[in-house]
Amino acid sequence: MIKLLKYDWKRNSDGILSTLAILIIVQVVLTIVGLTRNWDEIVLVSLSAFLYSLTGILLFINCCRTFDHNIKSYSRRLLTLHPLNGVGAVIILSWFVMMAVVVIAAIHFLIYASYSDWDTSLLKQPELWNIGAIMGIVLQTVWGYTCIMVAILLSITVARSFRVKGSTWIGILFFIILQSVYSWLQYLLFHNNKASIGVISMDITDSNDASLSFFSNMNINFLIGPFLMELVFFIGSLYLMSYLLNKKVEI
Amino acid sequence: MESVLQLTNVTKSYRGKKALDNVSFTLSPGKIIGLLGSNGSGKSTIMKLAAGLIQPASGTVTIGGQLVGRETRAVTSFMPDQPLTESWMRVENAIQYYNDFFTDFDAAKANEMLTFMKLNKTDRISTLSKGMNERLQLTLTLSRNAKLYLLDEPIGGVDPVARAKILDAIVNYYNEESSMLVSTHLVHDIERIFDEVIFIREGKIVLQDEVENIRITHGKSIDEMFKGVFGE
Repeated sequence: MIKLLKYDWKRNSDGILSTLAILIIVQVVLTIVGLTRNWDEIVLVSLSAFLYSLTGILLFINCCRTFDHNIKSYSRRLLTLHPLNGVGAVIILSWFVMMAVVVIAAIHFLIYASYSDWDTSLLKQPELWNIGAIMGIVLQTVWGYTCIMVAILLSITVARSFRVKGSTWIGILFFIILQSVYSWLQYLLFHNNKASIGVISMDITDSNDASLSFFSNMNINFLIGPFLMELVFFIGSLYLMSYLLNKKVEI
Repeated sequence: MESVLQLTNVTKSYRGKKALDNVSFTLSPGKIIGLLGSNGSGKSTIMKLAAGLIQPASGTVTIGGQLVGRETRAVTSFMPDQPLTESWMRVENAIQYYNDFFTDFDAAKANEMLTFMKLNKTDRISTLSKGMNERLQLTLTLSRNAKLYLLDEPIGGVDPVARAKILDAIVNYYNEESSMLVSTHLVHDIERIFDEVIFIREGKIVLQDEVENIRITHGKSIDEMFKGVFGE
């Protein structure tokens, strides 16, 4: 898997590094121009966050395209490795690129915060830096990200299992159905109407004013059931991908 | 003697069109076999089936008695009609790639072949001509110590000089303990290397025989025989 990752990286490194370099340059220019021309701080931060998100999405798409390229490539399909090695290599690559974007954003934030007149006393409260809670957030973010990645890679594999024009649409339809079935089952089994993103959850109320409220819950017991269901979907997706790559995806 | 490659009643269709129709044949070890047929006759489909890249709709494909799959790829070296390499690579990267992933890859043989083929290790693959690229693909394929070599149109689209070089390389570097299946429709240039030929037309095997038998029985060269069978 690591050897495959090495070759995925060699093929993509120019594109990834140049994208990150452009991101840094644009962020620097944006910050300097914004500060010298006294732009509204909210506009500046929003624009900056948008650029980080856009870069993250572009690099994520690049990882998906790498997988799509690999499953159609003779150089990869003729190897004696189990097909899940290729899936694992792309997932690790996507972790690396996302980590790079997050690290750049974090450094940017620290530099910006040190030069701005923000009140950072809130960030210095020791109870905010609970190692367990931070680890929980990180693990859940990585897990959620990996699950989404696997769902997309499975959809690409399903699309490539059909030798028909427009098979990409089959993949998109499969992804939508997969996500819908997952959400429906989650609601059915756990009556969960919260769009959970880790320990921070978004509660959608049924009131007429359609308000949203955010809350934090460090008790993670309520996540065990959904996590097990995610795990079942995750393993099932890997199994299906393995079957399709061995038997159905032809080049 | 155990067959190297065996296809039994293999059928394969693409979008309802039959590419192979109930095909059966066996390859014995130690031979170079020509798989001859016009464009669209099903040659590449047989190659891909043997390489484990596609699955038959019905019938079985075995290599050394084992159903084709991931395990048989370890003893099969396939040169498809499209590059085995990636455009970002240099020649040395391609050699390293094979060395990294195939335990039967012989780096010394690869280096010897590179010299024979007049390929420079530092050359970028994207800058190689079609003929030089074919030479590289053949170097990668033959540098593995495989049981079965599958060459799909190895001289297709290359000039006569490159053709001669490729055929010389096949003869010089072919391991006589293994078998080699070579698909082509350019029979005249390549017939000198074959021990046996299989003629395929519209997905059906129309002839399989030793080259010597054909020459003695029919009094014709393989090229003449090919034109007789496939001529319109």
